[in-house]
This record gives sequence, structure tokens and C-alpha cells, in this order.
Amino acid sequence: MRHVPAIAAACALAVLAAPPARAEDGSPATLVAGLWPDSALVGWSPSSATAVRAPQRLPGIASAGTFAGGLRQSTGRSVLAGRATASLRLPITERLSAELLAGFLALDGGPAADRRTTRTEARLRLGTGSRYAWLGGAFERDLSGGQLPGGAMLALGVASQVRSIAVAAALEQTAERVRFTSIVQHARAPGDTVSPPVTTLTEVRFSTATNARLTARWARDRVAIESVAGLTLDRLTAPRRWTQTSASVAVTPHLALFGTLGNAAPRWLALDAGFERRATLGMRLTSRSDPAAVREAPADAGLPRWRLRHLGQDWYVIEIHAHRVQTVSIMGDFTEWGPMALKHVSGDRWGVATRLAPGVHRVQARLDGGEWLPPAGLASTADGYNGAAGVFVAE
Amino acid sequence: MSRAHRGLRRAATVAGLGAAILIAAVAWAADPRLAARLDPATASEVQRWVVDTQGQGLPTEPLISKALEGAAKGATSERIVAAVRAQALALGTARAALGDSSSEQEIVAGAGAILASVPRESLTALRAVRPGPLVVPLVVLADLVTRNVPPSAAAQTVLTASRARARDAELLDLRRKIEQDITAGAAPADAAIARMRSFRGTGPAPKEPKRALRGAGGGP
Repeated sequence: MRHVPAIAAACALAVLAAPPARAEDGSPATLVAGLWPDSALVGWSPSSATAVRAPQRLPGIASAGTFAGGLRQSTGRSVLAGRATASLRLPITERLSAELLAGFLALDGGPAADRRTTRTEARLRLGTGSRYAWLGGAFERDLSGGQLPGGAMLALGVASQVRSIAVAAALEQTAERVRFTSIVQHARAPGDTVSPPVTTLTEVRFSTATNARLTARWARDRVAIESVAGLTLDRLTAPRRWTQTSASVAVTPHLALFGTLGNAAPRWLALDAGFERRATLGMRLTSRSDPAAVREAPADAGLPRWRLRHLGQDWYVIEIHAHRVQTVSIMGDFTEWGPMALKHVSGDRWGVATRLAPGVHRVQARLDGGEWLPPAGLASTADGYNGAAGVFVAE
Repeated sequence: MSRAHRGLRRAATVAGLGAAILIAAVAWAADPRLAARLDPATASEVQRWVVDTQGQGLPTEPLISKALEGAAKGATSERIVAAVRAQALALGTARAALGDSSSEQEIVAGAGAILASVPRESLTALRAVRPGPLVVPLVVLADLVTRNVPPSAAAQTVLTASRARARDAELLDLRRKIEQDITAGAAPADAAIARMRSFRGTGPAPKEPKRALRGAGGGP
């Protein structure tokens, strides 16, 4: 807790220094700060909502990149971590695409000492939208001089989304740094009267670990819950189970509160500078507003609400909903831009039956002889005369 | 007054009369709706664009509609002609971007997008990724840009949804939600990009599911 003032000051500085969101690609600046009785963290987070996606310049080619960095301060130990990733997806056929991923990971100050690692991965991805499977191979390289296992590592998985729940299951190999201890009992020499010495040897090696993991995410309105659980197997140590869960609530469009709970995960599967079981409560500030936190406001504030009903063939009923008005009129291309009065149906409903040719139509509405405005609930477009018109499509 | 001066005046009078007769003739030959709602000079100018556009095999009804709209809104003659000219050029640009096999409705919708400042490359990209009619995607694209979503972000949103095979109704629903977010105070670009993610999968980022935990603020 003695680091709290310094961390609070760092948070304030980071907020002030946060670059504004670039409207063109929507890249945000996000600050994460968290506290727990014996640890604290501050840093920049690359949540799935904050990936920097490059503007698409070539049809069908998608690219994305993220950066995350942070300082975690636990009892007696501080770890500085950073990770940058980039991906490029190239379509081969309508359902098949090739994906290239590259990442750089740095950890300074942890029990693993200073480590800088790169990972490049090539994948074949089959599927569309949020349902797909992938198969790929990856190579890792240690820039700090460590000897990583050679050869390609396997990665395969599936992802799907059902309503508001997204799940993914994957089997991925990573190079993990494994510390194991062995006790050497020396043999007793003939004639010795004392017990032979016992030597404890601690050795650190890199080993190819196979990780099976399941990820699930549920989000609705302001609340999002994510959970990832996995099992890591390697030749040198016993199987390790790990799990991490995070929940967040958007308080304002720019501020969310979050809580996380979990233990250490393989370094490429969760960027977590903590090497122990942990729990954190924190806040996330972002320069990009979270629409989920924005109060749902009626889109028709001040504008008459529009509804189109198809009667059959080219006949339609145009309905306008407007409270406490005496007259309602519309005009559009289908009226040759002449006013057409609507009849009062009931309550706030006004309507008229008209014929519409298939295609795009533009329309404006007027209440009680006032200003011509695009009805709410319709797409709109500038009319070229300093105003706007509603746009709808007749089948 | 000298003879030369008189000759000059006579020539000017003849030229003026000729121009008036020409305008009257073109206006007479113009679409009767134009002649009924516009002054002869404006109707003549609009008709010239109609004939020119017709000659290119493009739909002309949007031009007449645009002129009638201007008349209904009391726009000046210059404003009406400028709006009609912009519409005519946009129709040609839209067809070039969408391809010669595009339907009339697609060209009209594409012109709306072009007039809303959507880059023509976005129309071409949309044609490349989405099979079937593009009328609704183009309407949605134009609407997003009209609502101050940056053109590149708007195009990315509609293209992503199209790649995910979003149906017309889903695209219209996407547009409605983005409109609601913007009305409620979200930045237009943020609203579009955030809603676009529903087509990429809201859960683990489709390309890198390993980042999923930090989506809710796990942080480093």
C-alpha cells in the first residue's frame, strides 16, 4: 500500500497524457488502474474493445494491432510488462482466409528475469463472421539469449457466438519458462560418520507447453463478463490448471469499473505480469466512449416517428406517430415533392395509403405547418438544400 | 448613332431573342413537371442535364425529383441547377464504382452515398464483398456518413457486416442502433466501430481469442 500515492500520481499523469482517439480508425487510449491490499497495477490495456484497427485500404484484407503495457506492483516485487501484436488476414476464398500474426512480449523485473520474446504465427481460417475454425503453426524466439525449443508449434481452435455469448476453444503450443527444483542426495563415503550433504538444484529451462483453453464472454448493455480457463501440460512439470475471470460495468461512456480474479496464465495467452494468484479491483478510463454506457435515448426526440407497412403489390401505408398535433403532412419523391396530408387514425397515429415504386425513396414530414424534417427512425441524407431528408427502401 | 452601332444593337437583339426562343423551346420540350414548377431558364438548364444523363444510360428520375424538391423548398435557380448537376455527376460516379451491371436502384442509392462523401472505392469494395443487391447497404453507408461517422469507419462498418453476411434487416438494425448511440451522446466513430464488433463477435476477438480476458478490463 506504500506505493499507492505514486501509482495514483502515475494514473493522473497518464490520463493527462492520454492521446485523443483518432476518429478515422477509432483507436482509443485506455488507462487501467487497479488496487488490491497487497498489490497495484497501472498501465495501458488492449482490451478487445480497444484494438487499433487499421483503416481498410484494400478490399477483403483486414488488419489489426494492439499494444498493452503496464507496471504491476506486488509485495516486494514490481514487474514491467508490455506486449504488441499485429495481424493481417488475407481472403483466399469466400470462407477461407490466411492469417499472419506477429507479437512481441517483454517482461522486466519478474522472477523470470528480463525476457523479450517474439512469436510469429501463420493460420488458415475457415468460416465466416463470428463462427470459424483455425489451424496454424507458430515460432517463438527469445531475444534475451534463452534457448527456446526449436520447431513449429501447433495452434488450432474454434470460435462461435450464440446470441450474446461468445465462446472459443483452442489447443495451442507455447514455449514456457519452467523452473524446477531437484534434490541431490550425495552418497555416503565409506567411513563417514556424518550424514552426506543434500544439494538443492534449481534449474530453469524452456519447454514446449501444450495449452488447452476455453474462453467465454457474455456482454449486455453496460455489463461484460469474461472467463478463460486452461490446462497447461509440458514434459518437465506437473499439469497446471489456470483460470482468470473478469467483470466490468460501464459507469459512464468513458469510465468502467472492473474486477479480476485468477492465477498466472501462460504468458502469450494472458498478458499478466503477476506470477501468483491475484485479485484486482480497478477502473478503466478510455478516451473513446463506450456506447453501451450511453443511456438509451429515443432516437425520435423532437421528430415525428415513422412506420411503413406493405399492403401488397406496390401499395404501402405510411404512418407517422406524433403527439398533440392538428395536422401532419409528408412530401417526397413519390409525391413529386408536393405536400400530402395524412389522416388521423387514432391516438398519436396518422396515416395515408400510397403507391411506391421499388427502390430508394426520400421523404420529409411536417407537423402543424412547421419545418420539414426527416422522420425519426429512417436513414437520412443531406438534401442539397441545407436540409436533410429521410431515406427508405420499398421492396 | 452610327451605322455600325445600330448594327451591333440589332445583332444583340437578335441574339437575345434567339436565346429566349431556344430556352423556351427547351423548356417546352422539358418534362412537363419541370415546366410546371420551375421558371423557363431553370427548367431548360435542368432539362439539359436530364438529356445528358439519359444519353449516358443513367436514370433521370432522380434529377427531376431533385429539381422539384428544390422548387418545393423555395431554392434559388442557381441552387437547384447546382443540386441537379451534383446529382447527375454522382450517378455517373456511382455506376463507374459499382459496375455497369448495377441496377438502377443501386445506382441511385450509390449516388446518395457519393453525395454524402463516401469514397467511390468504398462502393467498389462493397460490390466485391457482398453478393446480391446493394441498395440497403448503400443507404446505410450514406446514412452513417451523414451522421458524421468518418467515411472510412462507416465503410469499414458496412463492409464488416457484409462480410459476415448480414441481411438487409440486420444492416438497418445496425444503422438504428448506431443512430441511437449517437443521439445518446456517443462519438459517431466510436458508435459505429463498437456496433461493428457485434458482427466480428463480441467475445474473444476473432483474430486473437487469447486477448479475451482483457476485453473486460483485466489489464496487465
